[in-house]
This record gives sequence, C-alpha cells and structure tokens, in this order.
Amino acid sequence: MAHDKSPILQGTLDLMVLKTLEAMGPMHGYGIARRIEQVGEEAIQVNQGTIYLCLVRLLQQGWISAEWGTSEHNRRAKFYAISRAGQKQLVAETRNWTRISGVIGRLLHQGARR
Amino acid sequence: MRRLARLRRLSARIRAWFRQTALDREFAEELDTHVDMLARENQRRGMTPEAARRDAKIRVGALPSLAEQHRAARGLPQIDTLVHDLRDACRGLRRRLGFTVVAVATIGLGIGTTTTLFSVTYGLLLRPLPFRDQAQLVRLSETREGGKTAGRPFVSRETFRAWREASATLDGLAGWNVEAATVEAGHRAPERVRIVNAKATLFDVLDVQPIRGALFRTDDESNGGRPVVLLSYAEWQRAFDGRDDAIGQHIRIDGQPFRVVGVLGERFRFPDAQAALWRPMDRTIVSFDAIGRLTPGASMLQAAEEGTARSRSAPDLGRQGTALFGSNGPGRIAVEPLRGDSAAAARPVVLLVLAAGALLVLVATSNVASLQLTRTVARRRELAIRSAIGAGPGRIARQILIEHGVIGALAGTAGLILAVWLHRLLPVLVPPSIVSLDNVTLDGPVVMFTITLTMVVSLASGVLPLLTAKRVRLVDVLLEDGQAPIGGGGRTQASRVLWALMAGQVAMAAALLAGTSLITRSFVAVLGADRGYAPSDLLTARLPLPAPEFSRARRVAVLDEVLARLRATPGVTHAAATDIFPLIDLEFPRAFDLPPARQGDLPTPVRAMARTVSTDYFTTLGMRLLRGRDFMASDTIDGAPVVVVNQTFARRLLDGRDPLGVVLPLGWSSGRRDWQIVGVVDDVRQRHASDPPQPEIFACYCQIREGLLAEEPVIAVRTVGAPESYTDVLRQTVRDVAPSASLDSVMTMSDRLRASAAGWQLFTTLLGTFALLATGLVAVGLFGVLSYTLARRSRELSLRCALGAQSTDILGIVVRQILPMAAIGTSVGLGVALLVARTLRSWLFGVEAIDPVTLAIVPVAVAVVVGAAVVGPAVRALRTDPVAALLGR
Repeated sequence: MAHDKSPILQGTLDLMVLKTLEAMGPMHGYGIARRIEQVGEEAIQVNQGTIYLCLVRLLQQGWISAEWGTSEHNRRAKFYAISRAGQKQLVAETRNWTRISGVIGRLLHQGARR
Repeated sequence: MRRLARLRRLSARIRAWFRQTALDREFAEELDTHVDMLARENQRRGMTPEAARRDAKIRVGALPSLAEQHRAARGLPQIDTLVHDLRDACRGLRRRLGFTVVAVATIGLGIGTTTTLFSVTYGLLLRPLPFRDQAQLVRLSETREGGKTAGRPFVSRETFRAWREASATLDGLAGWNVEAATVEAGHRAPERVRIVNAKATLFDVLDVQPIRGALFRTDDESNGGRPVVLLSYAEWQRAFDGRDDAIGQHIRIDGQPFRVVGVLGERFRFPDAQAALWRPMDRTIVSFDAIGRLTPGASMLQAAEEGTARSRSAPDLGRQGTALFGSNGPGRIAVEPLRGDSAAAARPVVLLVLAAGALLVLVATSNVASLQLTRTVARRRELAIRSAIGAGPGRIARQILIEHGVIGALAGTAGLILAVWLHRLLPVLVPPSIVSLDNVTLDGPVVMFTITLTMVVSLASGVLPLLTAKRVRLVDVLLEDGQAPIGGGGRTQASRVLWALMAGQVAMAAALLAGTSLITRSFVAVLGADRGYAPSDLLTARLPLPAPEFSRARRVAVLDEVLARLRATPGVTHAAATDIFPLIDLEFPRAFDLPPARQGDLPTPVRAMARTVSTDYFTTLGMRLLRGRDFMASDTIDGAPVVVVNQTFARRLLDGRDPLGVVLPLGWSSGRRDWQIVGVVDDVRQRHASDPPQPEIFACYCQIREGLLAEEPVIAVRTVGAPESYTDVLRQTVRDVAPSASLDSVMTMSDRLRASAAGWQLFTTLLGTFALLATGLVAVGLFGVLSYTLARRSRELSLRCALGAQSTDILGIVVRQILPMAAIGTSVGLGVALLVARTLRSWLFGVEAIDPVTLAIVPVAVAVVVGAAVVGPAVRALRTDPVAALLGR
C-alpha cells in the first residue's frame, strides 16, 4: 500500500457518501467509490468493498434509497439516491464537521506556534 | 424521535434477516458488477485483462468475508451467532449421544417428578380458593380448657349463636356439617352422595350467588322451615341434564322430599368437590364446622380474642360440653386461614415428599454437572485451541452455557411429558379419600415453575464446567500430555470438585434410602399391628336402613333376620352387627356420672365411647374377652340390662375396682338406668394402630326398648377363608329380607385396613421411588466418572503393571479412590436422615428414629450400588493391555 494514502477517519465515510450522492445524483456503488477517490485525488484509500457496508447503514437510517437499474455498460446495478431525510442529515453533519475541523485546526495551529 | 429511528432500524434489520438468502444473492451480484466495472477501468488504463481482473478483486475484497460483514451490518448478527452456536452445540451433543441421552434423561426425570410434586403442593397448599377476598376467610375452632385438642375443628352451637350477633371482628359467621344420604333426583338411580347441612349465611360469607334459582334463607333452618335444597353444578348436570326446569322439582333425600330452589356455579366447591347438595341445617345440631369473614382491618388474633370472650359468655353446655370437648371448662377459640381440611392434614407429608423430590433434582443436577465436568476436563485441549485461535473467554463460556441450555430445553420438555403422564397416574397413586386432587392441575403457575426449574438446573449443571473452563491456560494444556496424565487423586481443582459432587450424591441417596427404610418399616408395622381384632376372613358392609321407611324397631327385626340367615349359610362361622365399626365410623363419646365406689362419695362425671352391638359381635371380630361373659341369648329386652366394657374403661375409669358388677347409669333405653358390667374385652384400635385406646362401653341392642338408633348399621361376617367370595351371598340375603334396602361399602376388613394405611402406602411408594431413582442416578454418575478417570489413567496403571503391580494392587488403587468418598457420603446422608427422622418422630410407628436395621441396611445398599458402578470400569482397567497402553495405542 502506498504510504501517502491515509485511511479514512472513522465515521467520515458516511458523510462522504452522502455528499457524493447529493452532488452527483443517483449512483451505483462503483461510481461512489470512484468519485470519492477522484475527489480525494488518490490521497485517501477507499477499501471499495466497505462502501457497501456504509450504504447498508445509510439505507437503514432512511437517509438514502436504492433501486435496481442498468449501468452504462448495460449491466444490472443498484443505484443509490439521497433522500429528503438524508439531505437534512447532510446539512447537520456538514455543520458539525466544519465546526469540529475548525476547532481542531485552531488547536493544532496554536500548538504549532508555541 | 430518536427512539423512532432506532425502531425503524431494528425493523429494517429484522426484515433483512428474514430475507437473508435473497439479499446475499443481490449483494453478490452487486459486487460482481463492481468488480466488472473496476476491471474495465483497469483495462482502459492499459492492464492486461487478467491483471485488471485480479487487481479489481483485490481492491474490492474477498466476497465471503464481505458478505459476512454485510450480513452483520444489515441483519441480526447476535441471532446469527446464536444460531451458529446452537447448531454447534447440537452437533456436539449428537456426537456425544451417550452423554446427551443420560443427561437429558437424568434431568428430565428430576424435573418431571418435581413438577408433579410441585403441582400437588401448589394445588393443595398454595393455590388460592375461588372465593372473593379469600385472605379474609377464616376457619374457627373451639376447644375447652382441660379437654382434648380438636382433631377436626368445630364450634358449639351456643358459641356460634353468642358470637353471631354484632361481632366487631367478623363480617359474618357460617356453619355446616357433612353427611352421606341416599338421594333420588331426576332420572338418576338412587345413590349415596355427600350432602352439606349449611347455615344460610354460608353463601353470604363465601359471597357466592346461585347460577339458577335462589339460595335458601335463615328461617328455612327452623322446624317449620321449607324442605329445600341447592344442587351442585355436577349434580344438576347428572340428574337434570342442566335443564332450567330443575328449579321447583322435588328430589328425595333418604326418602324425604326436598324442593330444588337453586343451582350453584361450576366452580363452587365447598367444603370439597364431593359435596353434591346443600340443605338448611337443622337448628337442633349442637356442633358443626364454622367459618367467618374478617372485617377489613381485623386480625385473626383479634377475632380469636373476641370469639373466646363470646364463647365464655355463652350458655353453659353442661354435660354436652364434656361430650363434645372432653371437658366443660372455659372455652377458647382458634382462628386460622381457610384451607381444605385434606390440605391441612396432608401438609407435612406433602412438604416432606417435596423435600425428597428436591433431593432427587439435586442428585440429577450434580450428576449431570459431574459428567459434564469430566467431559470439560477432557475437552480442555479443544477449548484451549479454540481460545488460541481467537475465541474469547465470553465466547467459550457462552458455548458451554448454550450446550447446557439445549440439554436443559430437551430435559424440560421430557420432564413436562413425564409430568403429564404422572398426572394421569396420580388418582391411582393418591387415593382421593386421602387427598382431594381437585385443585391439582398442570397450568400456568406450574409450567412457570417447570421452566424456572429447568433454567436453574441447566445453569447449575453448566456453571461448574464453566469455572474450570475459565481456568484453562493454553500453554499448560498444550504442554500437558493430554492422553495420559500420571496420578489421579484430588490434585486439580476439577477433580476436587468432582470428588465433592460424588460424595454429595452418595449422601443424598443415602438420606433417601434411610428415609425409605424408616417409612417402610413403619408401614409394615402399621399393617401388622395388633389392633385387638382379627382382620382376616372378615367381610364387612354398611346396611343403611333410613327412617321413616325403617322404624327403629323394624331395623332390629331386619338385622336379626339377616344375621340369622347369614349364620345358617355354609362357610359363615359368625355374623354380627353394630352401629359403630372400626375403620368405618368416627364416634362421639357419651358423658355420664359414674357412681362412687363407696357409699357417700360424689359421683364422677366421665365420658366413654358407647356403642350398641348384636350378639356374637366379639367372636365375629375376633376380639378377646378378658373377664366375665359375652352377651347371651338370655339378655333379652325384659332381662336385666347388661354391658361389656373394654380394658381401658376398667383401668382408667374404675380405678382398680372389680369391674364386674359395677352398675352404670346410662340413659340408653327408656326406663332403665342400671346397666351392669358383666364382661371386659381387650382394647380395639378404632382407626389408626397408633391411636390411644378410649374407654368403651358395649350394649346389646336387643336390650334397648327403642330399637336401633343408628340408621346405618354395619354388618360383619366371619367366613372360612376368602371373605370376598361371600359378597353375593350377603347381598342376596339382604335383598331377600328387605328388598328396598341396599348394601353400601362392601369390603373385606383386610382391604379396609390397607385403605386406612393408604397414606402410609403412598408415602412409602413415593419415597421408595425417589430413593431408587436417586440411587440409580448415583450409580450411573459414578460409572461415568470412574470409567473416564480410569481410562485417563490407563497409561499410569499399565506402567504400574509393567513394574510388577498385581491385579489386587490395581484394584486397591480403584478402591482407595472410591472408598473414602462413599464412606463420607453415606455417613453424612445417614446423619442428616436420622436428624430429620428425630424431629419427625410422630410419623414413625413401631420403629425408633435411630433404627439399627436402617443403620445396617443403608451402608450395605450404598456399598452394593457403588460396587456395581465400580465393577465395569475396574475390570476394563485390569484388562487393559499394558504394552498397547504404553505405546499409546
């Protein structure tokens, strides 16, 4: 494994998947994994299989929905879409994330100055 | 909101769990597509098709592991593990079928018997009666200072009347007594049933309403009262098919017409399930059973105080008081919770038997625990390896508990089936005459008990193995030569626990055996005791001759004729009749003034059991005439009135006076108060062999001017062998003499004796069965444990053989391992049993609590059982081929 790829922070995969679906519209699992890797400019490493565990969790929360469709290569694939509840959750989570990362950033900065 | 979300997640998980296969397939397809797309992308970037596909598979992950995680994330992983463990446990149990069968059978046996015992206990002692606010219902009983303690609780009419008015502690008082009567009702043939003479207030106190018609009123109790009757639900169904027009119809009770005014509900059983009719109690009845309902807030103690005060303010009973209570001293009222009488009588027996049942369950549990323990020790390697490859201690504990849960569930089911079967057998085992089983059913509370017991037992038998399992240290176990450890004594924790378990089992079995021995010896003594008469070759029957069809004079005529014909029958040596007969009747004593020995002294008030008999009574029963003479043909109605007394009368009441010639002022026959004692007979035990004899007076009814008072005399016939074969002759004779009369309760005296000892018999059977089962279980357990430990030591034993040990040496090793355990177990068990027996001495008859026979028998029995269990494994140990064992084959 490349040393410049960091593992995904616990709990952040949910947020990434939700944001991806909100930004890109309905997508299948491969597309989601691909998109996250692209945006992360290959800096974060996604264990592609684990995307599906995350999708199950989100489905059970009712934040996304799923239905079978046909992929661009004419294969049967499951397409996931963000739901209204998921959008609400995304707003809340985003705010939360911004706040925490701000706090952490300030904290780290301060430490560096000393 | 949050809870709602959690609920939704749970429901999604449950739905997903049920669609397991479909979802697995979908996920596999989804992943497949994913790999496909990734491979395509790789290829586009210039990889060869094979490399592209390989890389895609690696980056996605292995399907089985992913599928597992996916399943856990979407479904119910706890249940999946549980199912997995269950399947594992079942597989393991099936592999060790012998152990499983023994464990299930052992625990099932214990649970089945204990469930049955519990249902009996619960039904008799604990189940609430079906009356409103049952806790307020109390049973009243009256005694007098200096009198006897009440056998059956009752109160006198005077006390009842004095208390009835304006009681501060009772909301109501009611009384009743029970009798048997011939009843003709509806389309049913005449039959003798139990009828209850009740105060009208009985139904108020119990707070019951009739389901048809009305109750009777207090003024029905007077002489001018209406002859009315209430039917039990069962009687209503039987005689009138449950028709509404039963109300207003007449039924005959001993020939007298009574009008049906009401029917009581199906669940109304008072005082017991045999009660078929209730009619107003005649006001002339002087004593009866009584209950009351406490006013809210009043205690039983307060009620007893009030009752005692009221009883002392009641009119003096005089001689009647002496007759009823044995003394006419100041009264005392006792107040107890209302319970069935049979329940009160059965309480100590039931509790003792329940204790025996508990011992059996304990034996069964420790048995399975010790078997499991040996298994767990054997499985130490397996468990060690399991924990080596990552099973946490929790997981291993859970696995063992689940195994025991499965055994417990199987055993519980087996136990319930056994209990259902035993319930069908109960009426055979427990004669209804001793204990009424109306309330004994297998229902909610009983099944709850079974389930709890099953859980406790399976947990208990699982905990010991668990404690040793937790101690498993991987390296030790793997380094240890699992095949053949050297030495087997009490070295390890597990073997010490095992030793204690086995000793405990032996102790419990020994205790049960000792109890059985004591009770069996008592039972034999009861049956064989000298009761003052010869029960063999004696046929007895009751011959009801109710008024008004049979006048008192007519009864004498019928009896005389029947007896004369019987005496003329070939094979009949003697025949006699009486009003009160041993084992059949309870009798009430008669009080009178005994004339002083010397002129000028005051007469002494005494009481004695008085009964009227026919001639030839003493010879028919085989009673011993000690002094004077029997009744003779010359003792006629015009002759001088004579009586015969028993030895206790002569000893206790006559104070060393010569009984012959003493004149008793008995008011038996009009115009005669000078009955002279002409003979003394030996004492007869009226009911139980252990009853103290009472003073008794016998008169011949041929000398009583009014004829025979008793409506239901008893006929006794002494035959030349096989008394039961004379039943038809007896019936035919009665039919010939009095066609409208019919015999009741025709039985040989030996059968009556056995029936009277049925309680003993039941107790003996139950305890004996438990003792046998427990001993059998101990044998099985010992066999299992020994087989196992000796097999484990086979290499050591072979080594010893190879070094020159003889068979006797090997046997010595086995015996040394067993003997101390068996000896200590037996001593402890015997000690406990004898301690219990000492406190329950009153239950023994003709045998001391410290009984030498029991002390000798029990160790021998234990030795035999232990020996039997040891023989197999020991022989196998001796037969082991030393070379093969040493080579590890």
